Amino acid sequence: MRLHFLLVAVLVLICAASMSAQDSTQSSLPAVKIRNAAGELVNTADLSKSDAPVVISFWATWCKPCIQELNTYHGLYEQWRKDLGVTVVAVSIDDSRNAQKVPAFIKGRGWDFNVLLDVNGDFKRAMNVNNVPHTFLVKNGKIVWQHSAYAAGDEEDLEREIKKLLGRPTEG
Amino acid sequence: MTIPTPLAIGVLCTLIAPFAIVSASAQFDDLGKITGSVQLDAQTYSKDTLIGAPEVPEKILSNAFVNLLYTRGKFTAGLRFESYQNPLLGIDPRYASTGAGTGIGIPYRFFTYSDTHFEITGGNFYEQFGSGMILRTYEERNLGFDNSIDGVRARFMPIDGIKLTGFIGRQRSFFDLSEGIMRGADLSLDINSIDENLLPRDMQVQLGGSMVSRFQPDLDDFLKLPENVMAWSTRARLGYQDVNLDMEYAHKINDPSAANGQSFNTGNAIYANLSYARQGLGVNLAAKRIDNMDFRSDRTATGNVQTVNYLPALTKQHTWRLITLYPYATQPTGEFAVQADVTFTIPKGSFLGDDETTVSLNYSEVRALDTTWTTDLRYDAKFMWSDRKYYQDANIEIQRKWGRKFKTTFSFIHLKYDQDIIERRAAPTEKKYGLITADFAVLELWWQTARGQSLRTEFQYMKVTHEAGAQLALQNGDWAMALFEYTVSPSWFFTVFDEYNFGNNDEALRVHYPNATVAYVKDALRLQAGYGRVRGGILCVGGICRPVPASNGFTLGLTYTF
Repeated sequence: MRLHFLLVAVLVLICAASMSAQDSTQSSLPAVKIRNAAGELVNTADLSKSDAPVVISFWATWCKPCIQELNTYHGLYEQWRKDLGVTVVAVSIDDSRNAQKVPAFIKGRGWDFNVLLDVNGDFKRAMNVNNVPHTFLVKNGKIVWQHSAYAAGDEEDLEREIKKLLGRPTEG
Repeated sequence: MTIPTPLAIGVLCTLIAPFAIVSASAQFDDLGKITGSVQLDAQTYSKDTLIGAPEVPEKILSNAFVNLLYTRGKFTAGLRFESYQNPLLGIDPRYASTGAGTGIGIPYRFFTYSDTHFEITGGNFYEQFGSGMILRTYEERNLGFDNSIDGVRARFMPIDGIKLTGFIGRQRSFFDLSEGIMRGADLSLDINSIDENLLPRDMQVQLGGSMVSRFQPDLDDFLKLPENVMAWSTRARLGYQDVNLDMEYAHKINDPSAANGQSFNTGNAIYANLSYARQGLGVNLAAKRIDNMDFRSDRTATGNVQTVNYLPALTKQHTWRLITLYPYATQPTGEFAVQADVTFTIPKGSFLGDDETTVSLNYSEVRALDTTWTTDLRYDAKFMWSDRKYYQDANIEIQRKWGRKFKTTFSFIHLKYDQDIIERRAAPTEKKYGLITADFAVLELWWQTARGQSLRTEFQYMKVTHEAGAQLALQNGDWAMALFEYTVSPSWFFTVFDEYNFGNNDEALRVHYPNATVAYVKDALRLQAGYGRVRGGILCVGGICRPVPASNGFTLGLTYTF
C-alpha cells in the first residue's frame, strides 16, 4: 500500500517536474484579493500588467534574512526605479499577531515599497511559497524568475535578471 | 483519512491524468497550468541521556508534503499529499495513527470557481474573519498544524467594497474530520470603495461583522451542554492621514469545554490598535482583553488542535535563539495585555554620520484577569487586570550600517516569564517555578568579505534569575551562544553555532549544544543538511508554538517550488 502511494507521489513529481522543465518561467500571477498597508483590497493579478519589471518578495517581520534582503533593496531602490523602472512589492506573511505592526515597521525603516498584507497566507499558497524569504520577478503578469532564501549578493543576480528581461547589457 | 487506499490511489490517478496531458502540451495555455511545491524534512535520532533525547525505535523520522495547484481561467483546483513516516518528534503523533493509520493521505483538496462578483469553493479551505478572534483556519506545517475546513464556502461581491462570505463544513483533525459541524458568515464593508465621496479626503473606513457557530451533540451524563455554540464579532478600522485605529470586539455564548475547565461563563474579547506611521517613524500602541475565548470544533479537544479561532500573543516575537526559550503564548481562558512599539531611522548625514541607524523599542505586559469563582462552574471577572503578572518584556534593538561592507545589530531584552502559567507547570493558584527573569544581550556583526560573500556572527548571552522560594530543579540557568554563518551568493550557506548552558543548576548538565548546517539554493530549490544537538524548548512560527523535545542527530531538508 505504502509503495503504491510512493509510486503515485513519484509520478506526480515527474509530471510536475516535466511541466516545470518545459514552462516554469511562464506561470501567470494568480488572482488573490489581499489588502495593502493602507487597508485597500488589491487583486494580485493586477500587480504586473505591463512591460515594467516587478519584484515580489515574500517576507515577515520575524524573518531576519527577509529584513536583510529588503534593507538591501531599500538601498538600491531609488536607482532601480530610475534606471530600470522596477517596482518592489513586499508581501508580508505576518498573521494578525504582527500584521498591524507592519505599516509602522516599514515606514520606521524608511522603506518605500508597495506593501501587501497576506495575513492568512492566501497569496503565499497561490504562489506555492514554502518558506520566506522567497522572491519572484514578474513581467506582463508572468513569473519569469524566482529564488528562495537570501544571501548577501543575491541582489546582483536579481539585477542581472532584470537587465536580461529588459534587454540591457549585463556585466559578468 | 477515512478513504480506503485503492480509492485514494484511483482519485490521485484521475487527478494526474489531465495534469499529464496538460504537461505534455504545456504550450497550449488554454489547457491550464500546474504549479506546486514540495517540502521534505527528515531527521535521524540518537539517544542522548544527558540532554533527555529519547531512544527513537525508527531511528529516522520524516514529514513530507507535495502541493499541486491546477489553474485554468476562473477555475482552480488543488491538493496536498502528506506523509509522516513517522512524524518528527514534537509533531503530534496522531498524524500516524488516525485515518488509515499509515500517516499518508491527501487531507487537503479543493476546487474554486472565481468570478468578479462570485466565488465558490468545495473541499478544504482556509478562512479568516477579521483578526481571527472567532475564526481562523490556516496551515503551519512546521508546527504540525492544519485546521482547514472541509466543506463549502461561497463569497458574493455585489459591488466594489462589499464582500459577503458564508461557509459550512467540518474541520480537519489529523487524517480525520472533527466531530463538530462549523457554520459561519462574514460581511466586510470598505466605505471608500463603495463611494469615494462618502468620506472626507484622507479618511478611510472599513467595517465588518461575523458570526461562527458549532454544532456538537450533547452526550454528557451530568452537565447540560449547549449543542449549538455561537460566537460573533464586530470590527472597525478608521484611518486618517498617518494615523490608523483598529478595533474589534468578539463574544461567545457559554461553551463548557475541556480547555476552559467546564466553565459556563460566556466569553468575550476586545482588541484595539492605534498606529502612526510616516517616513522614518512608526509607532504602535495596542491593548487586548480576553476572557474565556477558547473555541474549538470539538469541546473535548485540548492542546493545539481543532482550534476555530486565533488569539495570538500581544508581545514581540523574538527570534534570537537563546531568548526563544521563553516565548509567551496567549492564555485563552483570560488575560489583559498591552504593547507599545516604536521604530525610527536616523537618516544618512545626521550627527551619526553617513549611514542609517534604525532603532526599535518595544514594551509589553500581560496580566491575569481579576476573577472570583462563584460556583464550581462560574466566575466573576472584573474588566481590569489583577496583580498577577504572566509576562513582561522591555527590549531595544539598534541596527547600524558602517559603509557598504559592515553592519552591526545590538539588542537587549529584559523579560519576566511565569513558567507555571505559560507552560502549565502548576495550577493557577500554586507557585512552583514562579516568575523567571531573563536578561539577554546579543551583538551581531556582518561583513562583506568579497563580492557575493559574507560572514555573519552572533554572540548571545542570557542571564536567568528566579523568584525567592521557586523550585530550581529542571531549570536551565544561564546560557551563552556563538554563531558563524558564511554565505556565498546565490547558492551556499554554511552555519555553525553552539549553545552552552554554563549556568545549569546541575553541574552535569552544563553541556554544549553544537550545530552545523550546509544549505544549497538554486532558484526555487533549497537543500539543507546538518547535524545538531538540539535543546528541548518551544518552537514558535507565526503566532503559535509547540514544544520541541531535545534531540541529537542529522537533519535533511528539501523545499522546491515549480
